[in-house]
Amino acid sequence: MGEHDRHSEPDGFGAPDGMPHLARALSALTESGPAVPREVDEAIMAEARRSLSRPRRRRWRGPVLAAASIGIAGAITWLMLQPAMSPSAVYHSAAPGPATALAGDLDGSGQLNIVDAFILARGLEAGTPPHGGDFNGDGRIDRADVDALAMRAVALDARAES
Amino acid sequence: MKRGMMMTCGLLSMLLLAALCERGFAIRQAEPPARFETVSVFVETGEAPLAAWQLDISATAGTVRIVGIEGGDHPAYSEPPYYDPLAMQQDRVIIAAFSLNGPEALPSGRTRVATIHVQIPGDVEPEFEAKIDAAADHDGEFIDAEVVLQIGTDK
Repeated sequence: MGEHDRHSEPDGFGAPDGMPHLARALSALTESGPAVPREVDEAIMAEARRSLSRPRRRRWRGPVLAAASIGIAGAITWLMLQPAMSPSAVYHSAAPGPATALAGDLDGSGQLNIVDAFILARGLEAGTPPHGGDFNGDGRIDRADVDALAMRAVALDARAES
Repeated sequence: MKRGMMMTCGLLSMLLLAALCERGFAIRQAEPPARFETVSVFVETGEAPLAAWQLDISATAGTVRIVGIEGGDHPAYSEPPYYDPLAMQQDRVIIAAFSLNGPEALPSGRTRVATIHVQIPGDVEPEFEAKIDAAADHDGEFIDAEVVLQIGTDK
């Protein structure tokens, strides 16, 4: 086919001369495409309008749910990290000893030192352990409390904190 | 050309290595020899029996490292006192001990209550500072006491 043939197409959609069947077939395709019934078309449009006019989902739900989740997770973590209430804690709350600001300060000097451990050991030996003697919080007063108190008295980091 | 560059690089590497070795040797030569000393810790209480004591001891001169702590002379304090293990390899320690003995079996006067072993690098004479945090008699009453440190184990 040459330049002449292309110019012979009157509207640009025709077929070259000599191919009338192809031209008819192509024309039929464009003219009788898949027709959408008017009812279907209107139904689709109505559904689209309904969807677009529907109120938007509440956008605050996501952040609120996330914040609530974080809060719950934090509460669970905090509860898990709390030391279990020991019998000694119950004992102290039920029968508080002398009101000393410092745990283990049995002589009321305002600081922990070896004399507190000595007083505790002497009380243990005499069978009258002083109140507040459960220094290590294991629910009983024994030699381990004496050692814990003495070790606390000589701890370098504790001294640095004070 | 390539061979020449390789030889140059090799030569430079050898020179660098030799310089590093020489420097390391010089540093080792410059390090002063370390020695070990013992520091006797005495507590003086006069007439009062010593039932509990706590001392804060630190080095004020020289690079001193505490390497060991042992008890004293009197049977009441022959066991090593309480101390923080973190004090090892440091220049400060808090030591403390008590005894539940009766007053007749407690030391009084001047008593060696502990011995501290230290490592001292170099020829610097170490200096120590000690203060009494607490000293009490058999009733748990605070008593006046003095602490004396002495290099060596002689009484």
